[in-house]
Amino acid sequence: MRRVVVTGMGAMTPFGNGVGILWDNVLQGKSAVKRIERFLVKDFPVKAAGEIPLENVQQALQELSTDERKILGTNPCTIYAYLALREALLDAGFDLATLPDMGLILGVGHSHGNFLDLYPEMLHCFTVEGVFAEEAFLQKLLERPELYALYDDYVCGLGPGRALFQIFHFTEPILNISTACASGTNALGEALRKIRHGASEIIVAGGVESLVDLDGLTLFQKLHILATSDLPPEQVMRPFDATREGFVLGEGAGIVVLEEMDHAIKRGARIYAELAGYASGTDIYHVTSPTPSGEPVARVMCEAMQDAGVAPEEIGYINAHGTATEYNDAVETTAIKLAFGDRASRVPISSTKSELGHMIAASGAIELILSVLAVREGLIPPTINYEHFDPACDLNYVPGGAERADVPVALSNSVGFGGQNAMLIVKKMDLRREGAGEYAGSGGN
Amino acid sequence: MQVPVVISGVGLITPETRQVKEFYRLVLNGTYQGPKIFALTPREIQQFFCQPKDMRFASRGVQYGMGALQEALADAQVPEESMGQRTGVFYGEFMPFKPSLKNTLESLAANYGQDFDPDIYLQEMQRTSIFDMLKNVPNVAAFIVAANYRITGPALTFLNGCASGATALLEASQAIATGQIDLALVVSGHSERNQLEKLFWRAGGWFGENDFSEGEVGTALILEREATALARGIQPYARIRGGLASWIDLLAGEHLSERIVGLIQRGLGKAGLALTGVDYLNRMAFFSKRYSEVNDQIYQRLKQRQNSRLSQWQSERVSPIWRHWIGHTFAAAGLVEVIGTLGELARGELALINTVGYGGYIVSLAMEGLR
Repeated sequence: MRRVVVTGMGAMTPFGNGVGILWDNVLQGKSAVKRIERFLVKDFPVKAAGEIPLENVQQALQELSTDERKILGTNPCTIYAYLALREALLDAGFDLATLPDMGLILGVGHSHGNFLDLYPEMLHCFTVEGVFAEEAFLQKLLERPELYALYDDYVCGLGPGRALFQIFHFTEPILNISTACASGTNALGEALRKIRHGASEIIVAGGVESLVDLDGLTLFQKLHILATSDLPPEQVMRPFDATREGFVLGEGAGIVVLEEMDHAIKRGARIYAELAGYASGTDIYHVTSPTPSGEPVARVMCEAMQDAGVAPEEIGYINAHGTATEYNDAVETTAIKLAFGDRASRVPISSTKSELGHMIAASGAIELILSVLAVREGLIPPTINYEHFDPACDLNYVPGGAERADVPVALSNSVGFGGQNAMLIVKKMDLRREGAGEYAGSGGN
Repeated sequence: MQVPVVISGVGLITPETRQVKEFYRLVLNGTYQGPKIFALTPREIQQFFCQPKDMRFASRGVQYGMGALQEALADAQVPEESMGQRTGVFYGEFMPFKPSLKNTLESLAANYGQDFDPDIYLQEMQRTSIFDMLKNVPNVAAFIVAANYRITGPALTFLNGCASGATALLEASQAIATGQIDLALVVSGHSERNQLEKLFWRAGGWFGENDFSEGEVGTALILEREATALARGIQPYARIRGGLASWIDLLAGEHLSERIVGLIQRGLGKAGLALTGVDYLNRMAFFSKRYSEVNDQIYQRLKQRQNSRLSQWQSERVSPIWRHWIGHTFAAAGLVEVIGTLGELARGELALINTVGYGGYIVSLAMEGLR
């Protein structure tokens, strides 16, 4: 069977633009969670999020051509995805002007764009009696292209993919996959399968999300899964801790260049690691809650290990879904015990959402990137804000800071809304053993 | 090793009919009147859901899809107990539009005036039903399908604009062909009646007398290995021969038709096929009349690459654009084209279905008739 390797990575996260800044901050156990600044939150119970600083975005955009900026528009998802993708392609050693034949599989969530600019315009088309002046709004849309563009993003949600294709002219496959919190993981996993079975040599895949907005906050707050603590923002996200009370939203994009191994070796690409296994399944217990026994989550973990041809004993690190909700963390812990047996208490597990917040559709891709770097660098990211022991969460969550350890294989878990379970397996590669000569890699950015 | 994959069951919910065969009959009799807006009766909706609690967050499009799925499963005679870990759900979705936005804005304007305040908006949203909000989550439909039929394999939602349904079909066939799953439920449904959403299409000049008519539909197809279907005594409709899901720049001007033909040929080539083997061309499913000239150019370019076999195409076999009867059904449009084509495809004939959607998403799919 053809093997698939990671040859490039790009990230746009609440820490800023780039994989390097992400890795450094996560290893140092810093939090990117802050008080929400994008809009004023007075009486709403949720006040913290992992927002991408506007100045980072503006600075990055200034380096682009006018045409590129025009195509990208103002949808944060589009901009994040573009910046992460650009970094990943350059990291993989490609000339952006002469990209080889490649596909794109993007894990997407809402992608509705910048509606903080849209809603006020719409509201002005409702009379004070609450009657919608339809023709007035239609006229606005006809007269103002920038408003129509905002509405296009809002109605269709196709912005990120459309802009990326227009700039980079990917060939095929071209897919937008939406599996909630598992979107990025499923996108990467489906790309792995396609390369394995010979459909493509190179596919860029990952996830993008920007739900730190009015509707995203409302949806998750009404589901009672957002943290509303009065703690300082950077301490609110507390995966596996007994006092956890839910997650904070994060945003951004993670993009990975996946390549058939021989193809990568032939072109002399730097190889970070092998993406060796993937499995996906559905937990049909409830639309927002996992099966209490953890069996569906455990099953997909086992299937992913089986797909990679590795045993639980070989897994040196688990990047957990770890959302800091009461149910998820307890069920995921139970599932890890089911899948790993005696090994469960010895394998280091961390939730890097503790540093970033929950990046929903982008989270799986970002966590895969961190798993790749853990394997590559022999460093395990910590779970921050873990202070109080919960008997339902009694495994090693790496609470005291990053740990140095040999990680031959890592497992990245995504346990998504709508019963979406998807897992990826990353394997360390020794290219000399693969007959590829000198190991060309130079470290994780 | 890739194994042959077939379509063994189909289902269709339209304004006029709740059965595929009845739809074919009405079209052939000339009694089908064209696109309409419709609603299922509460009793029908209840019959389509095995888990009534899931109806609370099933949008109208999902309700239609569930109805079509019930017919498709019965058509394929799939034993319910055979579905589980090795079954996948592949849902073609257009980004769901927020159903409660208009109500929220109306309330804001009436109670707080026309100046937008995010904090007040957040408070107002507290009144919105969580079930209405769930309808706006793209992957909820796939969960509903999986939960209702106790499917624990992958449940993937594809958001490739109007090519979403066709993309889901292509991906499902590949998942079976490569051994990931044994059985796939491919579903898509569409309802187009949100006033704010309609305005977008009107502003873009898409709706109306000079362009497409909106339509509503539920579609479903059952895919499995050919050997499995035959062993169960099912005569499949068609074998999926291959294809591709890609993207084209709709602003490519005079090069647009040339590029689309290139993609179609690439899709055929990947399946080891050539245009010379195609018997039945479902004319490029551009949904808008503004692309009718491109449609003609594509057809002419394909004809230029023809051999004697292609020259025998008859016009009525080249352009059975099913949306004339159902209307443009967005994410489900590609599956409507496939189901329509299955009604005409004879055993041994190779059909080429092409769907281009808003945003530039394109699917080209080849299938061979088995009935």
